[in-house]
Amino acid sequence: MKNPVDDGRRDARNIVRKNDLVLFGGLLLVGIVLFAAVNFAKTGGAQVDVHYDGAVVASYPLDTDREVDLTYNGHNLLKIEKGRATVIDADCPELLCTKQRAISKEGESIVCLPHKLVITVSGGKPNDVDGVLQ
Amino acid sequence: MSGMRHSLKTVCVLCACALLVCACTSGAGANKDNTSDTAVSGDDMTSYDDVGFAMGTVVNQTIYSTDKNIAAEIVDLLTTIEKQRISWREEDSEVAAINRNALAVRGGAPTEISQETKGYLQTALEIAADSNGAFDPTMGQLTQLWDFDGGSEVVPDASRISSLLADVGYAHVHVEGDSATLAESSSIDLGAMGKGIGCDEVESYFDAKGDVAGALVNIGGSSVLTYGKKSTDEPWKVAVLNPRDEVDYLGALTLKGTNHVSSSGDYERYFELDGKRYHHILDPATGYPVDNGLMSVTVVGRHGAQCDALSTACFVLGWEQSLELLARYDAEAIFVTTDKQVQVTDGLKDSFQLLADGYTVL
Amino acid sequence: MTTNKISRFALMVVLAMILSYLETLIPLPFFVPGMKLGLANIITMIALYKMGVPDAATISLTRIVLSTALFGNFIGLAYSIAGGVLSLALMVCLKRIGRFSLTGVGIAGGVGHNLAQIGVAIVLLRTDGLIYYLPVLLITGTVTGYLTGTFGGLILKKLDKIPFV
Repeated sequence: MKNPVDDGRRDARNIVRKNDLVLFGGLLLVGIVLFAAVNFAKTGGAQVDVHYDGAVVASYPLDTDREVDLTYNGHNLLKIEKGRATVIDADCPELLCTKQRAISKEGESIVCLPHKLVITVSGGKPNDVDGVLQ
Repeated sequence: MSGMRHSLKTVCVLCACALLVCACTSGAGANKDNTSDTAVSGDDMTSYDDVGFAMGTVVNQTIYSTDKNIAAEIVDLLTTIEKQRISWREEDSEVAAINRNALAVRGGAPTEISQETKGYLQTALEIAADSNGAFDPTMGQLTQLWDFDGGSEVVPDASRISSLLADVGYAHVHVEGDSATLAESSSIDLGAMGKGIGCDEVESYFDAKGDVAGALVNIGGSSVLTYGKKSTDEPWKVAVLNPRDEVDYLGALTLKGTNHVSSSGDYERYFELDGKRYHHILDPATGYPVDNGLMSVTVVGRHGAQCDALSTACFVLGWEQSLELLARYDAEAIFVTTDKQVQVTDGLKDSFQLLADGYTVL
Repeated sequence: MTTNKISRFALMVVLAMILSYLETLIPLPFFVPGMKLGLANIITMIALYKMGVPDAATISLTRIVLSTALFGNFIGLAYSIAGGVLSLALMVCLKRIGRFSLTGVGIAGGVGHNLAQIGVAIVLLRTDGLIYYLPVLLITGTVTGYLTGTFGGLILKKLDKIPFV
């Protein structure tokens, strides 16, 4: 800052005021602390859960490579490879699901808003069965 | 205030103009093609998975085949069966036509049906007779009265239940030649065996197709078909959910080759009122949810429709009275009671592995 | 409504739409659902200072509806409207408080937009787990808001020197 003894009037004429910087720093700090808290708690996940409309419709272990065609609502192609999951193809308008980074840690997710699809990584014991009867 | 109204007008006018532009240019945008085949990594994969929607539920498939279209064709096949034949909700289905004729004409009128639907009805009637009505395909109106599917959480009037119950009875269904008649003003509901029917049809489809080495098809988590074998020759592993913990497995079944597995539980659709659980498996004798200390029944056998109907019948009958019925259909079963005891028929003892804590196998 | 006002409205909306479109051309290093650069918000801010709250709201809403119709998809409309409404509401609040310049107002807009996005997603997708995106969206909203707000401030300063038609 050029003028250390900034009085209110002078400050008011600046494009960026002191209060703006306080707000900026404060929110950034809160964001970073939350981010750190969430990410420190993150551990390597065990399985990938596929949710539609808030319900889990399928789960796959992260340690087995595979491709899953998700056609429950529109089309998304989920790829699990080397312990990471990504969406590599879809028929939604903006393909934003294919641009989200690969997920591998508990709580991370990939979202396709138009298809109401959420893919998350969860912990627990890896699911090594071929099918589950409710 | 008038400023606001003007603003609103401006929004409308500008939007209308833009939509016009939009309509004119939409032809140009339509050739944007997002699907690409390059993403699929070719034939080197031994299996592929699919999560689709059919029969009002999720259909999970793992297919061991080089033909990548099979999963999509299965979803279409199941949807067709549901819409054209068995769903009472679908106006154009054969079952809906039988029900309409039952209500329209006193004593019912014969409805022409396909060979497939005839087969489904015959299986239903056979199991209904063999279980002394513990499974009954004419419970439609009672099921709709309770409306567990619609999320209803009310116990219906006793008088309403008893009046609908009077018309329930599989003996009112007559299947002759190419037609079926429902003689009372009840209605047929194959919901308790629809997913099993789906599994049977999928098996026939795989057989006819010939290029499917193995597959696991799971319809709504209530009926599973294991078909053929995996490329690794490992057996199929099918888990049964813990009836009181939806993220925990009660146990796992290890199955070789082609099998059908169906389960019925008091936790699929239910509500609780005054500490009592009201679930979707209704006793055809009373019209109320079965209350006999069972939480779930899982049946393993050779035919899907049979297994599905048997799981309901066995839930109504209980362990002791089910054994003879199961033996007649060469089926095996796992019964789980509310006091966390698990009973397994002899033929399944070696393939069932208990996983959940707090349960004991008798 | 005078011709003058109509043309001013149209100018602002068109500018906002151009910025909306430009934004879709900028490649982002990573994508987080709900995240947005928010270039069009610069126009909303200028309208807020030069034309008042009702006009800013009208311009923002018109821009959202038109951009959705032209470049977006209708499923995104709920998200965009929620984002537009909450960001404008927070910007108006900060402007009323009066101790912030356009930079602070921009931050409020960026954060408001992102928070609304995640809120709508949690409701529409019925998945609480999406709250995991909150920290990232808070950070990106603050940063993009700072940038757009400051940029808006610069423009506003220039505009003060010429009569705003």
